[in-house]
Amino acid sequence: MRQSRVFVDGALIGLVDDPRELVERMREMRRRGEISSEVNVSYKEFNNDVIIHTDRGRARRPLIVVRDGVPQVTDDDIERLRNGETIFEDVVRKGAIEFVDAEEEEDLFIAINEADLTPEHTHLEIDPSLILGIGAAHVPFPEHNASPRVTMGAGMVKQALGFGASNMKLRPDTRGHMLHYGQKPLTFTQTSDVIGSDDRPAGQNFVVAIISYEGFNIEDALIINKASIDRGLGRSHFFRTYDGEERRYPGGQVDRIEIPDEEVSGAHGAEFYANLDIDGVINPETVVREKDVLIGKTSPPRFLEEPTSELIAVEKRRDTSVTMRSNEHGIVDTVIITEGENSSRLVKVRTRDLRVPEIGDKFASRHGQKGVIGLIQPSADMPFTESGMTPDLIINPHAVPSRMTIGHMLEMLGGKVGSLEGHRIDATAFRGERETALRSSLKELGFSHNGREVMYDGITGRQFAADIYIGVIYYQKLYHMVSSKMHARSRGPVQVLTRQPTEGRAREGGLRFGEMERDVMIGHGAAMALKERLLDESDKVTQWVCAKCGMVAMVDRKRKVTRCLACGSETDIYPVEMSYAFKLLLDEMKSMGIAPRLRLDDMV
Amino acid sequence: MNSDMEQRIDSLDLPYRTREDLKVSLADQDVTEEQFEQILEMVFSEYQKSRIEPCEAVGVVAAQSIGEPGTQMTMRTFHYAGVAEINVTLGLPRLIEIMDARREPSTPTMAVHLLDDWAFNRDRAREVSWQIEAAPLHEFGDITIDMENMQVLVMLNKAVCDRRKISIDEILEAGPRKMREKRHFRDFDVEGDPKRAALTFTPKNRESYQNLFQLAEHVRHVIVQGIDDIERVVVRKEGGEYILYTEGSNLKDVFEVEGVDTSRTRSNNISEIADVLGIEAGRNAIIQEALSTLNEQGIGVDVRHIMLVADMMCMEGEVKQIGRHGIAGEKESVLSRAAFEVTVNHLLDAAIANEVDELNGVTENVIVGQPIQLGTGDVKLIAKPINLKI
Amino acid sequence: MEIAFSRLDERVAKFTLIGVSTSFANMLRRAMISEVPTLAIEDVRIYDNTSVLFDEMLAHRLGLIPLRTDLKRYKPRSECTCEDAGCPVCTATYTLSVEGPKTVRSSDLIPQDPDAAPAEEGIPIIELARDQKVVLEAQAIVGTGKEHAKWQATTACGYKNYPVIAIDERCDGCGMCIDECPRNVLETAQGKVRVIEERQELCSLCRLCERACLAGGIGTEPAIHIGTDAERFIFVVEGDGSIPVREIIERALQYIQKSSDDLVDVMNEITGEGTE
Repeated sequence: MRQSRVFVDGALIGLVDDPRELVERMREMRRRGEISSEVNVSYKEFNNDVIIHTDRGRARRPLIVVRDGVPQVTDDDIERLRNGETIFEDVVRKGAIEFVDAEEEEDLFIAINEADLTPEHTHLEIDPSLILGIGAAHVPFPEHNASPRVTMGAGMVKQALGFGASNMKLRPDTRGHMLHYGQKPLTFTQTSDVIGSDDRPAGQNFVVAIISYEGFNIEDALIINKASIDRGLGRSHFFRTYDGEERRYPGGQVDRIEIPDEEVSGAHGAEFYANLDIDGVINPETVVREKDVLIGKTSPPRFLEEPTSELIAVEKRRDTSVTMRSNEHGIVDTVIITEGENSSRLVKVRTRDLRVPEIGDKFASRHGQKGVIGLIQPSADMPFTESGMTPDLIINPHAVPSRMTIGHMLEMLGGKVGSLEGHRIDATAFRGERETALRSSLKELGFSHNGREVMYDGITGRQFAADIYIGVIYYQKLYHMVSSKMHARSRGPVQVLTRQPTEGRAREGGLRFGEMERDVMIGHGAAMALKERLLDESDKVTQWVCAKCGMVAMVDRKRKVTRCLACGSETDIYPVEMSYAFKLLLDEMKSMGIAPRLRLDDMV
Repeated sequence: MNSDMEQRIDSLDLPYRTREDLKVSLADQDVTEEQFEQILEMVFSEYQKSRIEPCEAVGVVAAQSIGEPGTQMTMRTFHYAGVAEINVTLGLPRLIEIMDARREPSTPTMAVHLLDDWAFNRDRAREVSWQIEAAPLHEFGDITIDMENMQVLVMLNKAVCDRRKISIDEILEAGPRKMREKRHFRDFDVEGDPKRAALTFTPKNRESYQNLFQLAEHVRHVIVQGIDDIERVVVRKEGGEYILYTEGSNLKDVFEVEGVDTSRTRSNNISEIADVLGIEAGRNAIIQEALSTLNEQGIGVDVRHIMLVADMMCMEGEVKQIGRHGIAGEKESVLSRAAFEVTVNHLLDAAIANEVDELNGVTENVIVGQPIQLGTGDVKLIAKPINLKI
Repeated sequence: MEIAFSRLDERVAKFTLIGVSTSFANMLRRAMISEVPTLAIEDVRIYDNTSVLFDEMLAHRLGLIPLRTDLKRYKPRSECTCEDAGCPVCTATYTLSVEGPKTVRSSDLIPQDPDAAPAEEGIPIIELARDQKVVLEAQAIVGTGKEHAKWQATTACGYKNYPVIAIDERCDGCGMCIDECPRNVLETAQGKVRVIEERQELCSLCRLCERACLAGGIGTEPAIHIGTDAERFIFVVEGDGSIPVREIIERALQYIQKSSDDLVDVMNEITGEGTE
């Protein structure tokens, strides 16, 4: 029998004859407290190695130790924990619960429920719902969903707007959101309760009907009730903090926060400074549009110039005012004047923008069912039930079968029961309310047990041929709002180097017509359209080229003649249309020592 | 349908297949002269309409037509059409191999068809398979290391040799020779005993145990029967006849084996087909392989696009890859090559050689900013002098 | 056309409309929701706000407070002679001046016209802590629910078709439909199932009883049939307190009358015929 190699944190430290005995001994020592509880040991049978890990950064989870089919955590322990006489760490120290990492978990035989215990089992799960992490733990009834949807739901919980911090009025976050009327979810999980996410709500309970309606909710779009939005559903504020600092430069020069006068280079024009107070800073509750100046600031000139021929050295300061981002507007919320590093004056201005839900804003339930508002419908047009209730949201039934998110359906039932009976519904994984219990509650309340109700079309008044599934479910507003994304440009700023349109929405950029798009135009044979896209709409420029030597020539403006610097001729120079990027390529080739000569031909 | 009509059909500028189809369809029909004229005219005009127009950007369309379904291809490794034991690269990796004109595909395989006399007889098919399959020496007998005398002893099993239709002498001869040629191991002496069916190998260096063990390894694995590259052969009955599927490919040597039907045997190693059977065969093999790879994934690409790619690859008499060591790298235009991959090298080399770029192609015109010469750009403007009467 | 009230008070009305078509019933419902005008706060001038809510949030909440409206007294801005300047005929003004710590309720909103006070007194507007103040002036104008939900006169307004439950003689009294019915509309009597006297109108038209009957193996057609009376509708209307429910219904009907008259006039104009 070969000796087993023993690895500690990836390094081979020795050999051992009986690996299983070593592993057992180490585990016992750890449970007795003789070795740190952070050590995890495992015996790999397939290559006869013993792997020991002690390092930081491993994901571990707690399990109840089981000996001979008896869990080491007794009812007495649980009682004492409940009374507060002992804490969790004491139970771990006792050796009744141990933390296990991924390597060691391979060796264990874990029972899920106490009822399933046999003498072969080595450990018992504390609770089956603990296989989920924090994000997935927010998803109600996850065991009824297909697993990719639970993953997506967990991801979107992180993108939901809500009430992030209770001191949000004091914090100058660069970007912040606040949902106006956040609610705790009617269907909750034990984990979200323990974490405390109820204190920081991130969504609202919506009344949702599932109907294929008018074609406005195709492809995951949503139809939302205008009256609900009017009453404040899904409203949020968006905050952005701008800051300006009076920096000191070497040489004693310093920025100044003030209202710049007209002589300063780069000044925006008098009307943009209209809102500034005497000290150069805007006042709270002022309405600001895009490109309005928030903090007036001037900086010393970039490079020290030589004094010109005039006697007085005019120090032309530059305007480096902090302006509102283009395509954003709002109201100034807070102005903070404080001291920065090097005791320089620091001014932070926070603006707020009310974001009422509009077409294009993204909403999602916690089951990975996301969608964008496709239509805001007046409440009179919404389908209604016999009691006059109209849904807040209409989602499309096509979103359900291929995605298999039955948890979504159950949550609707649960929310309906919860809102009618006035209590929250436990929807923890494997432990939530049973579907049969929800159905019988519905029946007792006078509703159909399958969650459907007879509804009438709001526009014609006729009863729908089919009964509609309607319920209450927790929906979140995600921070992808259309006003942050919509972007258009016909003509605008260009880059200095290439004279092509700038990139990015913040810089009012153009959209890239990439290589594959170029291939499409070629494939269609649309040569002129391609030329237009690449040249006329981008960086077309006319350069004078010398026909004799083929190099780019110059125009002598003072004498109004063209001249070729390479061969000296002044005639025989013609204007050629080319893209500026090509001219740049020629310049770069010249810098490499290559002489790119252009051979000219008549166009016609 | 008489020979005169046939002649008139033949005189038309139609593809061969179309003419034959026309003849076949008119064979039993009685048509009047008028009808015949009309039929010919309509067939011809339909054909003309279906032809592609000059200056159509066929290359881009072909590339997109093959590339777009390529994104739909999954990376499954599937069982090869019924033969569960043989592993063949499928899907996207195989398509990339074909386009890159790899000399050795990662899973070379052959489908060896047999001549009629062999194809329906199981035993004869097996004989052929033994002749092809590379069999190492250790399958034919016991090999022992004699540490006292520092020798390797081989006791051949006569029964096995008989069954596999190889004689002891052949093994005695082939073994040492192969060891010297293929495995380049010469430090030994060998004594063959035909009567006892035994071989004795003695290493030159009689002191080293390491040499002895090394010699033993070589002796164990030397190929004495079959073709070296063919690692495994599976005999399968398909459609009544026996076909041999191999792992490993060597067309030349397999063709020399008796019983092999050289007109139907194929390999998936394209460069080998081009070497052995000629460049036209290579071109057809490219089309065949690419088509079957795509169809196996359930994707239908029109054969014309693949035909274009295959023709481009084989245009100059050898199979060239599409990438920078092949077609793309051999473009005339400097700017086009520079835009494709290593930019600075191409530009500097061109400058040193005083090259001229005629700006005929697509990429270079896009760089410069002129209309490309495809499609709409094919039209040029000329000026007509006012006084000249044309 | 008849109307029979089963309940009518300040806030809630339940009635049955008899002898009308579906489109008329719907017309009435839509008119009640979106065409009956009420008063609601539209412009707010905020002089001091040191509370935790932003100005626009506070203004939003003020707008949603239902105000008692006397439509004979207030006219919509568009019809007022003051031409948008704002006069007591079209505008009602309110003031709010509070300092914490207290919960500011709608009773703290002081109207200039006591008849246009908030319909409820206990609606919480904002909670103020010590040293937080709110001082503002609000103006309310008349508008319809079509424009914004704050001007909706109703909180819930809906109807259902009048249920007609027919049990034919194939019924074997198995009682499975009785178990299924969530509204307990059915009972057994003399070996067969029948509808309980007063509970017929409670039927929700869910037809679970029909399904239960089929599941009992009675054949291809259930023995119990749920149908509707095409000309009877059971309405439920709840007002938010701004206008008494009776007046809501009356105003809705007036609006329907006026719209139809206008339509007839326009049609006559187009066709050039005399009034009919």
